[in-house]
Amino acid sequence: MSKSVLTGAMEAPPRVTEWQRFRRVFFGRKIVVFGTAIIGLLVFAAIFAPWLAPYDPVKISLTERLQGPSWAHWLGTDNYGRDTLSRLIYGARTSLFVGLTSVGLASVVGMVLGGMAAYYGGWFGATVMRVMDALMALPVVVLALVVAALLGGGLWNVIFALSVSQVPEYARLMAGQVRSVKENDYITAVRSLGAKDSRIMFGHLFPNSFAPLIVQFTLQVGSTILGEAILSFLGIGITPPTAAWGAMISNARDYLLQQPIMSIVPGLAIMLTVFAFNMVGDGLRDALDPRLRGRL
Amino acid sequence: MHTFILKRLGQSLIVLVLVSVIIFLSVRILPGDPIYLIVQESNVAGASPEQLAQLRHEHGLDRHLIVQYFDWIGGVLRGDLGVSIFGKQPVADEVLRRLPITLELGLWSVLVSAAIGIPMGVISATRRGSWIDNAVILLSNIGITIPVFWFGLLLMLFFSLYLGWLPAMGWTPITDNVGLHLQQLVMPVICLSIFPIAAIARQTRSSLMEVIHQDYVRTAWAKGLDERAVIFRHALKNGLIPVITTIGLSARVIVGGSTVIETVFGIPGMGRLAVTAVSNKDFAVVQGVIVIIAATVILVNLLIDLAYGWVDPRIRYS
Repeated sequence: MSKSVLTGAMEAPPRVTEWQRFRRVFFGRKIVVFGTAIIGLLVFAAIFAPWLAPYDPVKISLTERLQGPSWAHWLGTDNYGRDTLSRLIYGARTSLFVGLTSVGLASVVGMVLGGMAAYYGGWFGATVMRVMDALMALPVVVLALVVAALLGGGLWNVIFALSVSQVPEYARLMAGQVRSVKENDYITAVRSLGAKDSRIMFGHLFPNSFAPLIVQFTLQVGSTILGEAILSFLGIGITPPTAAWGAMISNARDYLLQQPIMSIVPGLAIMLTVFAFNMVGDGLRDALDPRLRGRL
Repeated sequence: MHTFILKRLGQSLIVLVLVSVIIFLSVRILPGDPIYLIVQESNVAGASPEQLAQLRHEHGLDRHLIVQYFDWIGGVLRGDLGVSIFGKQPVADEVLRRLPITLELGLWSVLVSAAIGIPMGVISATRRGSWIDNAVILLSNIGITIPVFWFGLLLMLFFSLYLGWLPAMGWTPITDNVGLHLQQLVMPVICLSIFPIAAIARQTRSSLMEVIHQDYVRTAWAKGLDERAVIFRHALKNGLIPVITTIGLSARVIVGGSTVIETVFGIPGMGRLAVTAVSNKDFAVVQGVIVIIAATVILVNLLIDLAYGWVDPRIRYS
């Protein structure tokens, strides 16, 4: 800049593509890079669990019960003699799968419901949104608890329970988005060209309402993983012997004084994971929110 | 203000009715027939279809859904929440015994989280970019990510098992032993407050920072007021309005958190009741407890909305 002033020559500002701008903002904060790295590590652990885990996560070995850390068992063993590190690695698989799937399901259902409610409005829209309000009146944990109780534990029931409890949030967000996007001139233009409702909705409204929902999606994965841990801790989540971090803590409770590492390790894993998703969510918000653009 | 109150009251009632319908229907429609559970429980091996029909009739489960709903909701309005399938005790008695415990925990938690969260946010917003601001940001990020039931176990490990300062678990009525009652409150209240403290601190920080740049605050500075007067007498008044909403949302989180925290610390409150009823599949209790929890949350939200309308005229006229 100073150089061009001195020479008097006018230089065109460097062209910045969307992707470059996204990268610059997103990776501009160290903590976001850290979060991304943690998520990368978790995904790696989840995919390659069978090769990474030193032992079979469900193999019981009563001669090796409640051991502290050692060369053979880096993080010790639990009350059934199962290797904690192996269970931790397989637990990443459970947590990520439950987190991503239930947030995926909830966001699709919530977005379609909320989007349709806002697009059509009238008694249909009002009914949908009031039901969503009613579901929002219950704490997420309580709602998930009831669904899990009615359906029983197990992976898919937990996913279903956690999805149901999140649908209202997405529906509300999407409804708000669609209502504001709907008023834009380009939607009127598409409509005047004779486009069908479904085409307007899926081809134009939804894609343009997306950015805040991606942020919400990322933030929600973290809290869903927390929700899964709570359900598993309460004994109505993932059924044993499948490795799940919440169930590991619940199991370790009775040996709190004897072998504290058994409780501490899975809790740290949950915390780090949720923290990573929150940081990446914050980073995405900074990078995707047009109102924050031009800051860098 | 009157129309505002009436409107909000009406909306809350509609939501409450809808919640009751949803709970009622989900218990009826989702798989898991209560009758089979009763049969399993009473060990009637191979009950005949006639016996099943008899049981179904006794529990009123053979009537039309709409009749069942109005029967149930009528009872709820008269203070009759039905009878526990297993314990044969009235659900209302159980709820009355446990609700005050959870309310006390919740009230303490709201007070503690406001008393810590708001000052944290104020300090952080007024010292933006300083080490103390960074510390507050880091702490509140940890606060919203930490699994509270796990944190509860850690507290228990250090303060009860290692140091022996606090009783690990249990609940003593205040009428029996005031000291022990308060000691047993400490760890559960800390756990329930962690998330709200973080949320309130974040909200206070961001809304105060927005207000600080407004003209009337600049005017206050220009008048030569000192920092304390500017922040506390001018900026905070408007800056705290959005925090009211966060406190309201925290109420929902605290009620939800009471399920796990009461389980961890062995406290006989509503949260614990919900968990046991759910794991026993005692649907009569589940229905009753959830309706009461929902009603509590809706009432808190209503009060928060009214408070909001009271402090911010823009809300009640919109």
